[in-house]
Amino acid sequence: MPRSPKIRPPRLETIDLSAQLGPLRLANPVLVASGTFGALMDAVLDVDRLGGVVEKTVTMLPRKGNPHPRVWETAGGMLNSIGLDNHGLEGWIQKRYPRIRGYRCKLLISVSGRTTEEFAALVRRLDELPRVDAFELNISGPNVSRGMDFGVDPSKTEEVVRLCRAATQRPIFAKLTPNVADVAAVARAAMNGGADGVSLINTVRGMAVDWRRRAPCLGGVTGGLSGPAVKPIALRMVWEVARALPGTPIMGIGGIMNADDAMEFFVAGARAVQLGTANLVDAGSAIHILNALPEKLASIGATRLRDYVGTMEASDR
Amino acid sequence: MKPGPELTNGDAYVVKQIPYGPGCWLIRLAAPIHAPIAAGQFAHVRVDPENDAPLLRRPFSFWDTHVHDDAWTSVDLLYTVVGRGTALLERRRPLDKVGFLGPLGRGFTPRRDKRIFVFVAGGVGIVPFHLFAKQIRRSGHDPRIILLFGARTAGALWGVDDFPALDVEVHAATEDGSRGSKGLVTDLLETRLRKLRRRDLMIYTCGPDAMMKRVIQSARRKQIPCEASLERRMGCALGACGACVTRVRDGADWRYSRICLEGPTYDAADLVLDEAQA
Ligand SMILES: Cc1cc2nc3c(=O)[nH]c(=O)nc-3n(C[C@H](O)[C@H](O)[C@H](O)COP(=O)(O)OP(=O)(O)OC[C@H]3O[C@@H](n4cnc5c(N)ncnc54)[C@H](O)[C@@H]3O)c2cc1C
Ligand SMILES: Cc1cc2nc3c(=O)[nH]c(=O)nc-3n(C[C@H](O)[C@H](O)[C@H](O)COP(=O)(O)O)c2cc1C
Ligand code: FES
Repeated sequence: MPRSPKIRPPRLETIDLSAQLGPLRLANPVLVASGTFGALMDAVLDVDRLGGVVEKTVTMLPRKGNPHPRVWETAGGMLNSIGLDNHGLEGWIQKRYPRIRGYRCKLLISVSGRTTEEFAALVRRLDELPRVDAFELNISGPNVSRGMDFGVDPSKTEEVVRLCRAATQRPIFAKLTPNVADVAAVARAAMNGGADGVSLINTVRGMAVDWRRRAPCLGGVTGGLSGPAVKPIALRMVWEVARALPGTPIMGIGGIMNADDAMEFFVAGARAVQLGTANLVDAGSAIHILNALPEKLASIGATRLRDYVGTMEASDR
Repeated sequence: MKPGPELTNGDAYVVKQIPYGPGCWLIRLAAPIHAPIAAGQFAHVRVDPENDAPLLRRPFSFWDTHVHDDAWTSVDLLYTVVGRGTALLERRRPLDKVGFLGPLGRGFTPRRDKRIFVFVAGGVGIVPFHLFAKQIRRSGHDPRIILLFGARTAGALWGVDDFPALDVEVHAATEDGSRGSKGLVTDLLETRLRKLRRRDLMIYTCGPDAMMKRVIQSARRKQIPCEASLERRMGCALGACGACVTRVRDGADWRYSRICLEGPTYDAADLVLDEAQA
């Protein structure tokens, strides 16, 4: 709770940043988001210090992804139309898992299926691995759906989560799309299906146009908007879910570039945050934020981050 | 931290900017790096690390490097002002900070078994060839180096006058005929190739996709080995995001290769050319 600033600030090293999201305990609340972490990034980012990493979404079969250009810078953000370019389940297990299984932070594996059964099959297979700390169900990718986005339909969402729940004992987070009218309804469905928490938001569907060529700028035509431009949308949605479903473990995602942004998500109701675009801007962003958080908390007299989560007071209209 | 490639992600300082023609600058950075830099590798530069606009980093090839024994390296980049990021870079002054991530990617492979290197450059694609020529001249291998350099106009033959000192034969082609032959550099290549012995040759190319495509087609037709250095829009430049892809052969099929990781320099034989130009 915010206290009077006259109180002597707590010593920085005593500040408790740990976060509990259902059964998932994180040493600290900073994670790197799916699709923005991998390959050489761990050569410049000390992953062991993070709360966790969320892997690039894994699909059942390898996916080539979309033609280039796959990213487009926009005002305060960027569009991407990567198209879930990934090795596929078995390729990921062979090529990627050995590199990350030794990380000392939590490993969250993001999966996306074309059907509810495929989601569950992915989870079941990955659940056999000795070192998976949680699953994130990507029911929200705007780059792959062909009119069958699970995350826009509460009943589909509940069904996907329920099937995955039956496939693993490990924690499950549903990653929600902002491209819906009522995000709390989808979050509720995910929790009813047995999710341990929700991650939000994925990218906002958008487009860039080259009027001279009279053509879309992205190879994938439309793409997902991310970065500072989407932060207000993400904050609003985190707050809506926190308010509609008190006590739901939430990972806040969307335009978080620095520790102040992260603090905004915490007060709005997120117990942890994921950085996406910030990793591309600076692969060291997560560490910079982690280093700055104790001081932010100390400046308001808090000693434990969790006391501060969801403490924003906002009267309803 | 895990032992990785010798990558630096940190602040570099502007030492100076030297005009290299209209809208073209050489920027010298003092960067805290000691990793060897190969011609064709690049740096991912955050033009203003104190600001989120422009958001993404900008990739630039190395024009030159000067290694100092105190672990700072001066890194010379040569850039043209084409948009928001480069316009901002142009306004950076000595002692200003820029974010430096690098050295990144795979550089050119000097083919010691070849006696003649033909560089085919288009526009700002010239940049990696300067460092390449310098490194070749220092390596003890002494091939004849022929630079075929194409641009719209004479003023856009960036840095062209720095090459003779590296014992590089320069042949220019300009679209308006203001210097060298009038027309495309690929036509120049065709004429040149007729005069040289195929077995002696190695072609290296960097420039617009359309130009490189024709260079690679010529090289394939004449069975001359060729390396091409590509440009793509990038996000992370660390192989993580999947932004920067090009098609490469994969058995009977093809796959997308991330140029920041497996390129930007490729053996032309591996590239699949029918990709949409952008
Ligand atoms: C490996 C590599 C090496 C390069 N080396 C050089 C060099 O030595 N000298 C030089 O002048 N330029 C070089 N470029 C191109 C340079 O990165 C772009 O000119 C620059 O990013 C343009 O930024 P901007 O903000 O001025 O343009 P804007 O058009 O405003 O940029 C908008 C976005 O598009 C991207 N973008 C625009 N044009 C290009 C392009 N041609 N290639 C890749 N991304 C682009 C920008 O990075 C940015 O994300 C290189 C590109 C690559 C991929
Ligand atoms: C290049 C790129 C690739 C992404 N790939 C994935 C993905 O595979 N799975 C997923 O759930 N989210 C993916 N995302 C979305 C991010 O994880 C994140 O939800 C979104 O970018 C918003 O956060 P940000 O504003 O911090 O980037 C991707 C985002 C970017 C920019
Ligand atoms: S720019 Fe991210 S993979 Fe190459």
